[in-house]
Amino acid sequence: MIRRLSKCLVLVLIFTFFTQLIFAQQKELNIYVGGTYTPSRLMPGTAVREVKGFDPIVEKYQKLHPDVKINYVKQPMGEIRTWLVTQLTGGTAPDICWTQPDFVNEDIGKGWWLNLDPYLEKPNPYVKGNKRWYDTFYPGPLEVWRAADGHLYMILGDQVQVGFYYNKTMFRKYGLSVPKNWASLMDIAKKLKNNNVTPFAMWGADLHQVTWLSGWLTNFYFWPEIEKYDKDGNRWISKTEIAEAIKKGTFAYDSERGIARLKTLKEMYDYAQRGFASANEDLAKRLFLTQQTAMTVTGSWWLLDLTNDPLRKFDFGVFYFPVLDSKTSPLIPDGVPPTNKAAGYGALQLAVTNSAIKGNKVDLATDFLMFATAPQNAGPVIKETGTALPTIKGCTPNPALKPFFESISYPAAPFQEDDSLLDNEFGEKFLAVANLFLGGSISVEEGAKRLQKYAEEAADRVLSLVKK
Amino acid sequence: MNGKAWRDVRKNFPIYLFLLPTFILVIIFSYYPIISAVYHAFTEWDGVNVRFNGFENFLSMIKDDAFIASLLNVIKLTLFSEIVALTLPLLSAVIIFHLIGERIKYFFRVLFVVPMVVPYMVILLIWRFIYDPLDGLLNRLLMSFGITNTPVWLGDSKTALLSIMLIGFPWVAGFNLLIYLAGLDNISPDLFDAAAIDGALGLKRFFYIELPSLLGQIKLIVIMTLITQLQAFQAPLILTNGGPGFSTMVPGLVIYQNAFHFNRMGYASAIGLVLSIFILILTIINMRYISTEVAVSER
Repeated sequence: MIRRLSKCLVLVLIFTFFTQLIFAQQKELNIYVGGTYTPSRLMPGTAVREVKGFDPIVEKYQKLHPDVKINYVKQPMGEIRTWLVTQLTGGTAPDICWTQPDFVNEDIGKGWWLNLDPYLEKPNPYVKGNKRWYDTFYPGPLEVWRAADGHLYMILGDQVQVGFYYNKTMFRKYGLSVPKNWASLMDIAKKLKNNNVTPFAMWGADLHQVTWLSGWLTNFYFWPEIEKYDKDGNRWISKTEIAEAIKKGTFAYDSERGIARLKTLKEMYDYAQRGFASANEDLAKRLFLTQQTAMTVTGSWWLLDLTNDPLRKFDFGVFYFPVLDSKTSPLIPDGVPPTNKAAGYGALQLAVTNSAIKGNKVDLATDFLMFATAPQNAGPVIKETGTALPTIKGCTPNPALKPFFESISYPAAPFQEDDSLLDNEFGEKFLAVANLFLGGSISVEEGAKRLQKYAEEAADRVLSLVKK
Repeated sequence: MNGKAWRDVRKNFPIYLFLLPTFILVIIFSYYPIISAVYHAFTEWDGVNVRFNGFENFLSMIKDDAFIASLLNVIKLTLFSEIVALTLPLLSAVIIFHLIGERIKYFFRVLFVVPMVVPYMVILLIWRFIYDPLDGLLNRLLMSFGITNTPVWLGDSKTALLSIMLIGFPWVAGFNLLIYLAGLDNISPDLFDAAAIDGALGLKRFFYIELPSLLGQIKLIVIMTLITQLQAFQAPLILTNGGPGFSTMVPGLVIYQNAFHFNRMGYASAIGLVLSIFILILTIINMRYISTEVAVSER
């Protein structure tokens, strides 16, 4: 009996040894590709539309590299930044991870993200004749996120865009047409309000929508003074440049231009639904969908969902943010060109984390990224999800996103939005103060004064980060 | 440890051995984070890089508008919660206790306890719908009474904190109710009989017998409510994100934002430390000066 048991034990040990040997040769890569590109099959009950997401890319790569196993990390519950910080601090983040560009740039000096510059200089073996991986991307959106230390820590495979969604049926009813400039947008809002229609569905529970609008206004109000801030003359005001300008006092929230900008913003919010400060994006969308408002401001990610929504009982259209001119304020010259305000933001925003660095998987991770961003692989996936437009050369966008084609071709907006202007802390404080003056709890002047104080504190933080 | 104690440990060694895994886990997951927070409170820590900065974090708190506003808000929230916790569940418990018939008592006990199984997140989302300024239940109700200028509740800095307080109406927390009921069950029936003979019924019975007998439970609830309220931040996080402005900001949310959004974990630890000391002091005051002995001697 004992002999038989011993034999069994030896056999089990041999079996375990060889299985371990086989599995040890298989390389594993953990990836989190964000909510948009995670296949719907992994998120039962949460996806509005069924998408394959990264499945075809993963399948093809594993077929090409049978020794590699790619594991999806599912979309984490709760707030993404909190999850990322805990995972990166503990060294347990996925090897390749979706991230907002602001995050990677705020994490300089922590060793959390891989500097991709050396890899972007290498040829992408999955793109025929390519000599430099970097050249497979449109440089504009990618360059927006070159960090303060001069490096790129993430690649951007697509780009979202934001715009005004409007109820065409309602516009027809009141004889309205798409506005040509900001002043005519305000006229439309006034007419709608006079007809007891709430013009805009807005939300203030997070800082996205308010900073899309405030950022848009910055690009017109501060356009005449751009030379003062743009030290390197690249028509892109970096965090360092704006922080220096704030410290010098050349860019100020409580300046004449600063206050005028905030007043224009307030004018728009006077046409929003009551209680917008506590509303979130879902509520704003619901108000628009149920025709309680005539317009809302949101991104390209909603277009297909809204098109297919059975609750929608009206025609809708999308127009880009109208330009501002002297009709809105004498501080704005006529002819300021429109810019691409969402340049640098997408859904396919991937970076290599410290887990890959520590696990000696950097080469594998970058190889997978090269494969994933090859146009023949990324193109169909970006097209299928239909939430963003590709920033990889040779990819065809989803035709449904046509309303956003033109604005994406504009040059990148030189001024970043208020949440990305300095740091995240300033962004949160901007939202807190904005909700107060937009809701009428404090005056615009008082709001500007508070914002200036927070901006000066944030400028110190940004400049100290650069010094580090 | 003296010889007797060692002998006792040796004698009951297996029992102590069973306690060991729990003890180790408590050290790792409860005590280590506390020690780490105390250490990091005196540092500039972004999650990776640590630099000792003395009392800088504590000085920053004085200048931090969000933190100052959060302190004022949490004081208001805690006072309100204490008043509510000490009145409504107690009143309900006394009424249930004096109901005639065990089955009816049991029914009401279950009725108040069942909501405890509903996740707090669900409760918050329901209240978000109740407070919806356009379609919300509350404003619809007000409109049905002819009130047209309805409040925007969570969207107005003047009403947002009040709206957070009102969540959980009618505020008869099942847990508190059970504690009070357990206390009432522990009062000797002889005492009630004697009181009845002396003519102490109704309010007299409540103030001279039940309330003094429940001081132990009251003390526990005061401490529990205090700790819960000073640490709580779920409602502001989900419903208002601390806004509009800082009108619903609470220290817990300031800690969360600084730690996970602003990369200022050292500062967040410092706020946590201050909060812990504050809770400790209040708990000591409560333990020392609200004595249950008085009640016993009077009884």
